[in-house]
Amino acid sequence: MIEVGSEAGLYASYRTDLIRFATALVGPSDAADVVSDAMLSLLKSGQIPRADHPRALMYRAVLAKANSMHRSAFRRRARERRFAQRVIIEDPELRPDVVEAVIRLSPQQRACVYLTYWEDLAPSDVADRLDIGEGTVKRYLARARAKLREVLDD
Amino acid sequence: MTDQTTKALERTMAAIVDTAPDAPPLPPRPMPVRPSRRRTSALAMAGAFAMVLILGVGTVLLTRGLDGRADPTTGSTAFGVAAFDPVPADWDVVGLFDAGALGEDPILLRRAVEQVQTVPGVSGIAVVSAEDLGAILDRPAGEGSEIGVVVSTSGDVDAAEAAARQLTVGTTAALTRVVYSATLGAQRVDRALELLHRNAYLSGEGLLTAAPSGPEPQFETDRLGEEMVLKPANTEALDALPFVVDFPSPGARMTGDPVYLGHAEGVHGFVVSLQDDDGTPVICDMRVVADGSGAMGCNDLRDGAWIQDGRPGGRIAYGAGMSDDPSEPIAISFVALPESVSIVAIDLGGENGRYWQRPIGGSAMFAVLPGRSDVSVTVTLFDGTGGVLHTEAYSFSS
Repeated sequence: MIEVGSEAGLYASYRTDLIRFATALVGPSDAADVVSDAMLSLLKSGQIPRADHPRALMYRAVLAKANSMHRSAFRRRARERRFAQRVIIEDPELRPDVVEAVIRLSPQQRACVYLTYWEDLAPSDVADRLDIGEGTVKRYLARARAKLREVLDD
Repeated sequence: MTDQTTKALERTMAAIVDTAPDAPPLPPRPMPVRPSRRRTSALAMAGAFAMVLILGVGTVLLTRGLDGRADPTTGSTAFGVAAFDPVPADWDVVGLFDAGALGEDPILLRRAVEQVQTVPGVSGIAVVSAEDLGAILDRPAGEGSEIGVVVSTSGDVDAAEAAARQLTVGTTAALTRVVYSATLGAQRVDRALELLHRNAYLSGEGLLTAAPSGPEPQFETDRLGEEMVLKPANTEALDALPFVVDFPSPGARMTGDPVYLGHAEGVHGFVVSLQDDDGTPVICDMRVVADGSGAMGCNDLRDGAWIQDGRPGGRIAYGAGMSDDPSEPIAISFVALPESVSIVAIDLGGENGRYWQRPIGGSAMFAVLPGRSDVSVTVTLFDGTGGVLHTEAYSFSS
């Protein structure tokens, strides 16, 4: 029995969303580690029971862990290639260059793209979820769309 | 085109989500308290005759000094002086004295021992010959001609740092360096990281950001020059972050989130914790400009002091970076500052300016003198009442 509102209960409620979010940020190979590390940090800090918006707190912790993943440039590129290959296997009609363009977005940009185009959140809701300014969200989205347009226009 | 872009993003996100693995189970709650190191110190207390083997003429003075305090052979005191064979494995601090300089002024060794004896928490002192220092410092036998004053504290960081300070007082004519053990260095790194993370928060940009540390200054700061405030994270800081996470050398492993200090004059300061390729924990300051170039300095916090021009330095872990671009400033940063520091002040000499800053997470960063390729800086640490805790001077050039 998991107590509703407890750390375990909150995690049970959001873990599927969190692993998808982490996958969008770092790819499927590292997503579980990122979620585990994020939850470990939150458990250690004791922030979850005090948080007004625990789901947003968990999303931000996952984003912070994704940001801090130590990887050399070479390993990151190799990882991005593997990530793109996995995505194309899921949907063979996707253009590889488009997938790679999305995967090469910064974690912050990808977080905004994921929440906008997968979770259908408005920029203000994305801003609340990630605790950043709405203007920042719009800027990230604009940058991401601009990068994608460059690829699509080719 | 907009629709095409939106559809491409939606479809790509959907395909990405389809690759998501199962969510991991909630990790077990970590233990809140790390077991502290417990050691029993049982330094053998040998007679002062052993000193004869090491120091010759200095022995008499040292013996009298110790005899005046207590007889180490009776067990009535925790203090003693011994030549160890083998050398003690459980040491925390060692002061290295130049044997030649001690020959000219042997009282310096006695002074060092007596000063360390006054430090609460010190549980043992030994004087070690040049040959045996090789084992302590992990260097080939026969290298170096120093004599070491080796201090044990049962793993008490405060006592070890106080002992390191006492070793330098009035002894710099013969003292060359003070070094902490690897264990003590790791403990000092742990403590610096604890202060760095204490009250750290996620900024609006999602960056883990350090909070001000140390007591509020209760004194007039105008005399220290101009305040250089580190501004909070902006989007440029996010652009700098990938450089930070990608920078560490092959084999090094980042052991925690990069912590943002703030930015000044276009230079962004971060502090990261790494485990070096040999497993040594280090604390690193990174100074990054927005285009993603910068510099990094790591410190294992094993340097207690080194002596330069007769003055002790090295108690503050610092880094300085200069860009090839003359429009960019010189960035000078300090990490692992003591928690009691209220103000960090730098004096660049002459007309070059004086600046001060409140520490952030036990760190500080100044960005000064764009266009210069060399700089001399004197840094002074003040406590909350304006008392000087420490002063060091550095010179560096590109």
